[in-house]
Amino acid sequence: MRQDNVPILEMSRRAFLHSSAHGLGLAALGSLLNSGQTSAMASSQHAPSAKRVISLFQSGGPSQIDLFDPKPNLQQERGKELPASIRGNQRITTMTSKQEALPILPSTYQFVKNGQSGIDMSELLPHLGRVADELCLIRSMHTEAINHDPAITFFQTGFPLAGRPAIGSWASYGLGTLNANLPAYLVLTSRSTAGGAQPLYSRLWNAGFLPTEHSGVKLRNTGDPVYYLADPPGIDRAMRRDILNDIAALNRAQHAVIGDPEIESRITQYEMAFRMQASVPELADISDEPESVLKLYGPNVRKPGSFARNCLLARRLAERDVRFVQLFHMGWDQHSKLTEALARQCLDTEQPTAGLIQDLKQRGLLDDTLVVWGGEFGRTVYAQDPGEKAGRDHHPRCFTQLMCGGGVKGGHVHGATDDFCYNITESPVHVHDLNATIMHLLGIDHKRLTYRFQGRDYRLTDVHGDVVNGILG
Amino acid sequence: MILSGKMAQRWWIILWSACSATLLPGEISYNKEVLPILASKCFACHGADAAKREAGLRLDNPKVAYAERDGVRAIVPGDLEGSALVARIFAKNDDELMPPQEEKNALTPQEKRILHQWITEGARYEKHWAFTAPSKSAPPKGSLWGRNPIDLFIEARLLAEGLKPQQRATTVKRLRRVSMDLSGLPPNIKELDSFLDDSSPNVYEQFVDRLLASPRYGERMATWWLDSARYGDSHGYDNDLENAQWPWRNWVLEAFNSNMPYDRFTMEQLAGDLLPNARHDQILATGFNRNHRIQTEGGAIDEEWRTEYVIDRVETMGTVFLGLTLSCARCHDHKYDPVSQKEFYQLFALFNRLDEKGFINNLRGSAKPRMRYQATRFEAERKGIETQAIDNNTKERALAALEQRYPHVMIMRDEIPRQTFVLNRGQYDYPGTAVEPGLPTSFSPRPEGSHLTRLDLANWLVNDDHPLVARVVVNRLWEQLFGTGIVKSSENLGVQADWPSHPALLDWLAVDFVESRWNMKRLLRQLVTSATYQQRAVYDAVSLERDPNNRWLSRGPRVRLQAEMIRDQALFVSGMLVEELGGSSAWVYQPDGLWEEVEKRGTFVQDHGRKLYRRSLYSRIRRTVAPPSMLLFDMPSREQCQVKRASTNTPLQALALMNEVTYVEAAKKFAERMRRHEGSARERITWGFRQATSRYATSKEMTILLDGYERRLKRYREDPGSASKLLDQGEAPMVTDLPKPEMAALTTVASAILNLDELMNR
Repeated sequence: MRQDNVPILEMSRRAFLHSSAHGLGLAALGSLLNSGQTSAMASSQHAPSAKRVISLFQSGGPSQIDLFDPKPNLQQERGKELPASIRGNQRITTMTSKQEALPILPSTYQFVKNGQSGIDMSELLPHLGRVADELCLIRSMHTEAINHDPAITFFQTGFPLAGRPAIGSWASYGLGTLNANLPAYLVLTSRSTAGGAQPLYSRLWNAGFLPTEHSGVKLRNTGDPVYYLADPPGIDRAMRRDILNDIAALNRAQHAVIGDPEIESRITQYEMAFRMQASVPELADISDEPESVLKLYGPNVRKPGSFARNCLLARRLAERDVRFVQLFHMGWDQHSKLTEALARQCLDTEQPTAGLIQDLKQRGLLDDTLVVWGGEFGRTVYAQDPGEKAGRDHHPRCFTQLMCGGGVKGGHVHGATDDFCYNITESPVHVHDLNATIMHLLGIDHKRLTYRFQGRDYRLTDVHGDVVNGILG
Repeated sequence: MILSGKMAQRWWIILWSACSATLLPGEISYNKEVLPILASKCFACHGADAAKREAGLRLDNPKVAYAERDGVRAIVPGDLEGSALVARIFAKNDDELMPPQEEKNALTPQEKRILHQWITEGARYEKHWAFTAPSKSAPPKGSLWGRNPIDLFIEARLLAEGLKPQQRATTVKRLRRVSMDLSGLPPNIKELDSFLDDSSPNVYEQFVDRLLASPRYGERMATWWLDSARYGDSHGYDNDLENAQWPWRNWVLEAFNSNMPYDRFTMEQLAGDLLPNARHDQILATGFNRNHRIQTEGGAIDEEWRTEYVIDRVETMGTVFLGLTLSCARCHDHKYDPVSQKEFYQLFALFNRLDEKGFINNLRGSAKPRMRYQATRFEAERKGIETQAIDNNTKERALAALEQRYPHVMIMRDEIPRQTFVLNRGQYDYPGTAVEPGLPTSFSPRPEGSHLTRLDLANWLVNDDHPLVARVVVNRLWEQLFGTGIVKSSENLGVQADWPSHPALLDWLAVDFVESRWNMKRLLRQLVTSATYQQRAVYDAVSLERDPNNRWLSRGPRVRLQAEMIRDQALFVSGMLVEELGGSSAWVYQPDGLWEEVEKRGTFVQDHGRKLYRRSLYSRIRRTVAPPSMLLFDMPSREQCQVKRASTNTPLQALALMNEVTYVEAAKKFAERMRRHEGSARERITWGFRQATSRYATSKEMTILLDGYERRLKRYREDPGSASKLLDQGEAPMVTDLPKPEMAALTTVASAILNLDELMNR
């Protein structure tokens, strides 16, 4: 932290000494800061409604037409060319731009009304339907990139190219950790049971130009739950403690001679590592979960590495006050065989998602935990490779995002799209707006949380982003 | 009396001026004090970017700032009442207040005071310091402390801050520090002893010369350069398959080891292909511009990504050589620095003449344009194989191996006279006016004539009067040795740069560097032989309080080792390091399942034997899943140019050093070295501690280590099975005739030593 102390403190002073509810990171900063310089900013901030975030990122781009945004009238348009007036002249990917036609492919799934709010959702989502009154559907999301890599990077970092901090890193940087035994930002990934999905990239949870300690820590499905967590064979817990005591004693002896405060920090970090060696396996061990809870998440919860298991772990992390829990589930890129692939993907994901929401709710955690669900873009109304194996191509111009808990309206639909589910007709929400809103719910003004890099004050939302007030509870 | 609003405001300003009679000491410096305020709080709307300019007012340009518009003058030098700026920044009325209240960038009282006094003193503008050519001022007069001119600058500042320099560190400390800095490895003990026994007065300087002459120097410096050159071993998108750029890395190694002058180093990388009668190696050097990532994701739009690569080349050139954030001018005129959007695309045009593709599905190896590495040798060997009387299978295997040894490398080749346009909002599909290749106007005289090429750009950069290039590189090398640059924002020397801690020293060094004909080794020698560099790194109360971040260098620089050095040091201390200069990259240990978790194509096949123990700069970097234990120690993923690394201290680093197989194996082999050293356990550990730290352990430290050894030896004697398990870690076998409980206990001691804070710093 030697060089990094300074920017953090400068930034913090400017940005967010606004609430003592934010725990260790802030408390630690507060004690280091000249409080006189912080009061003006502090008073202009707002109270957070969410203490933590669980982001369930659905990598590949789920089809909004088949899941969340019903267009019953489209059935009559089946196979017809997408009208030029709707299509406009914006770019489409080279996977369909060379196709002879762009024939309309209505959803083969029925939509049903759910809950008291009567929100329409696909028959593929029966469990989610049961928690519809907790959900806020944003049907008017849009983004800029049209390929996975830039689009998902844009969602996570507010910029389509590599190098910027992920949203969880911003949260960790801004708010610090609430649990001294665990990192503030944890990441879990799961693969599609169908296999062969779009790959992920570690930059999606990296700290970019922020200090590396704010990078997401990956909680793994195989081997050590965190890289290098387990002691090597032949070194047990007592032995590790014994060795650590020696390391600490030797480091203290050096500190007595040199006086570099960094050495004290090193000693502290080694102690935290030792605590993590206990706390991480404990949180990954679900043997204490009763059957009734496991049932909520569906049968896959018994499979390590499944989305269901990761959802359960996300709840355990939320209970332990991890600030930002980021799940990635791969496999939503249905360019072909949409009908069967989508059903399978929903089978893997929708019950665990609903289970997580119910589980959080029954523990009283949903009030201050924000759950976010969605992918990097939507899918086209027209068919890619029309015919039996038809799929849908990438569509950045409109798609649906779910939010839940943490101060968001339940049983609410925000925004609307045209009859072809191609363009937004009401209340567009850009990725920057969504990220601004997530930060807002965490009590952070996205315009004020900045970090000076290359002589410029960077923020998650660049120079954009408006909080979507319409979805705030 | 009722005052009108304006009158009241005037009175208030005057009153305020009177009350805050605390005139700031000395004359206000525009560059140091005023510009940072204007740049961060005003230029966004009143700066160089014509598109975003409000009310036609520019505060970055005195002509416009002083001019009258609608009967109002923003700044009237020396006249507070006549300066609308003063009225506006002190306005009580929200409608009048500047910056507007809804903006986050309100002026602090201190900032208002500075602007107020600056206008009182005549509102004199200066050109940004880094945009005027540096001049070599005579070093301040100093005491006998100094060993070279650097120290005189440093001492003057220390005295001004009420500080004084530290004594010289012990020879051992100094040799270790400089060995890490110039070779990336600690000194070996035999070498150390020969220098410690030498009583000649310039023994340290001799040691430095030996380091600079070693091929390890090139490896250390290349590691530094690869970050800025965004070197990786894969294409960086989607499936992220491997490229074959390592021959370019060989060029970098050779360039550093042969002490290629920095102007030449710059020229050949940016435009080696355009030099008259360009040699093979000069063309190879231009691989620098092709190290960017390449899009391989199905459905990507060719022109969109080809445009990104050209932009990446311009941005990288700007960051690395100019220390400017040219990327800001991609979408609009730069808000702070004098680079217009048009100029950005004129630079773009220089890099826009390749016959290249933007999207190549599942690309493996090199994209065009490319050239065969060491084509002559390749051809000769190929002929040799083809004329051999061997069966076809053997022949094919031999040819495939040959392909690996002499792959195609991506290079620059101007082949297409492509017309460049200003891209509105930076978008590939939104071209504006056509532009010709060109160079920015504001920094240094430009070559005459039209049809400029990258060679003209390179020549322009390394002309002796360029204000930025020498400063940028000198500052970055300073940062490598002292932990922080003289300009802390080493990645940006533009208007938004941090004020230099020692401006005159930076300029002196930059000019001196150019006068030495851009001699890298000479510059480094100059820095490391300064008394400043050789100080003790001791944090006393005064220096901690007055110089907490060591900006004034009131103590020697104690800097955390970079990721590569930490691993290399462990391999070196354990005797496992395989030193072979250059060549292709190797797959070293990585956690099981790393690729599968993120759905990466391919099965990880780790290398074995010697390849596993080479220096870390040869470890393969698959950019989207870069080696986790390296990232933990702040190595960048090499997806884009990065000229500065963080230096963090985290629990995950502790876990890696305690448990990663690399370090457990290194501890085992280090223990084996200790065990084979003649003598008692005490003597063995004493020897081992010195191998690792270069110094003798104190008696207190020895007691801790020895007691720990005895305790754990007892445990392992009771449970020899555990000892065997520990000694099974890593692929390097243990020498079999050594007793396992002793070896395991010594391994825990070795691991403790490798985990010391002292070994993570130098």
